[in-house]
Amino acid sequence: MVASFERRPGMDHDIYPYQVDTARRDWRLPGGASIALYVLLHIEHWELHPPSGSYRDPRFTGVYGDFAPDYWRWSYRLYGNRVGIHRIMRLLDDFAIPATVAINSMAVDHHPDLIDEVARRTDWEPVAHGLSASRMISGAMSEAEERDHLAQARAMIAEAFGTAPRGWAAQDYGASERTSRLLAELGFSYTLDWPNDERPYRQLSDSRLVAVPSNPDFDDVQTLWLRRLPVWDFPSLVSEALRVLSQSRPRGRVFGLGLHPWMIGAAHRIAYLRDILARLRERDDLWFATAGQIADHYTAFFPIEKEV
Amino acid sequence: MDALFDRIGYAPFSERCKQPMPDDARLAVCVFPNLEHYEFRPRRVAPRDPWPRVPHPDVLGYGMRDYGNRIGAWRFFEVFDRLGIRCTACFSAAAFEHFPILLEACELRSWDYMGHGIYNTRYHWDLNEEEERAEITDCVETFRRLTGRRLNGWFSPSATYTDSTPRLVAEAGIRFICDFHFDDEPVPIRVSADRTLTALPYQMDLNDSAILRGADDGRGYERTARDMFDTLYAEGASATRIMSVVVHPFIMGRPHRIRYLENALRYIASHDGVWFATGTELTDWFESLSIPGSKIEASE
Repeated sequence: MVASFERRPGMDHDIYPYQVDTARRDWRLPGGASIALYVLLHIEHWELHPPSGSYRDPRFTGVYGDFAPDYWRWSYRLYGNRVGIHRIMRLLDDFAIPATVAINSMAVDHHPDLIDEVARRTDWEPVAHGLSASRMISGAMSEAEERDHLAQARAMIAEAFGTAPRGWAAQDYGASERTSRLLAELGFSYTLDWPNDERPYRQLSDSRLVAVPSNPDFDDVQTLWLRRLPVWDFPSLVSEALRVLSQSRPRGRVFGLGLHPWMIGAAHRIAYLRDILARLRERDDLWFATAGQIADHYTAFFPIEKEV
Repeated sequence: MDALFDRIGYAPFSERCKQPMPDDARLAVCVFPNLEHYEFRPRRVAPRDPWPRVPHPDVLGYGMRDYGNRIGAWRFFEVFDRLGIRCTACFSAAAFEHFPILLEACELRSWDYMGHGIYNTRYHWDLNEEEERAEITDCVETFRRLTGRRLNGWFSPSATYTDSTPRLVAEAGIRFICDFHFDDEPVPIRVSADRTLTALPYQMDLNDSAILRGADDGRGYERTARDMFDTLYAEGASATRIMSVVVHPFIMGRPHRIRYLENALRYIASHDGVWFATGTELTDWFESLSIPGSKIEASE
């Protein structure tokens, strides 16, 4: 049942309340940093033949339409997991920047060597990321279907790493009005689905779920693939965003950098990731953290009764 | 799991090694000009209408492409001659029948070939196995009739395929396929218990058709090519790397773009240790390696 919301002050749903940015207090980050930065690395599995009834983001339709099998799209994505991701991991290691890793449950089956690579980097944090890149959550799902999708994804990451993931990042931002509640019920403590703020905030009437801001403008696929920004323009946009965030008041902002191995890991794009990471390391106002560390710091700094 | 996933060779990145190339090359570069023909009045319009803009004919869509065979291809031959690069022509069988002089020009230069369907408006999406086999066989037989030789390479027409494509291609005696973009080194695909097909690296992002879809123009193509080369050439010191350059005479053969193709190729050629190879040379080399690269799990 969809609740009806009148035209009155406040949100048109009951997932979270409206907050005015300028009315919030400073959030003081570790080391005097002004920006908490997390890198969200995606390990996904694109199915050659997704099951009938599954919903895929239509923006990824093939050049000439949606035909199957589409070896082009399938193998282009697979390149990321065979080759591209190793370029990215090497750069993150070189610059000593930890990653938050969003992993499709089907990628666990298909890429056990990548799971090992993530697991041995003990400062990295895996988060659940749905089942595959060809199966989005949507409002057309029943609650039981959605719960099953979330639970399956969570169980697979828990099994692969020996501990349950605390964070959730939906495939292609797929969500329903129930998702936040279901995530909390299943034991997740934070979500990366919401691109509507620059600091974490609590969701649900009992504040059980933290939304850590996601950043589609600085997700390589959203920007380079779907909006076709030339990759050589990407680094300067990152710099400009960080310049403004560092000066924004109240203090304490989050910047997420979303990376997909099939996109920024390509031979002709990887040099620009090096450029971006070098720019990040030149700054002295960043706290390099995982999304979970950011959520934890926020909830410790602002206990529920002192939020805002 | 996807059935095909289990039939493609794989080696974890950490276990890969540099496979020696002729003359200790660091990087192999394969140039694929597309010599295609598109039907004026396509025989089939399902599942995809080749000219959806207007009831056929579409003089704009057709004419833009026909330009390649009248003008652009000849500009290409000049550039490749100046640089001394032997290419691998990706050809529509009908293009060589309509325009035999194009094949003569390739033959004069000892180019290599890769079959690309009959017409580039005859898509394979919904063909049954018998129909797709007939199209592939037609290409192989047409090539044999025109040159007396075996066809070694394949790229499905207009990137349209079926689940049977790799097997049918291998059964037609073809040795390499460029329908897959999953690696920078050759990868074997098992198509039956006793037969494999070699997937050669093929870069869709250095396919100039991206320009038609809104990518940057010739200047961007050159920059992408240089950036791609820089990465692969650097990695090629310790890893097996192949780069492909894919161009259409009706796109990069236009007057405002040709210099950027030549610039890109000159930049690549200015480096030591670059092996300008053809598809067949790469396949011969790959099949002769004593150190295996990607392996197929022996599960079947």
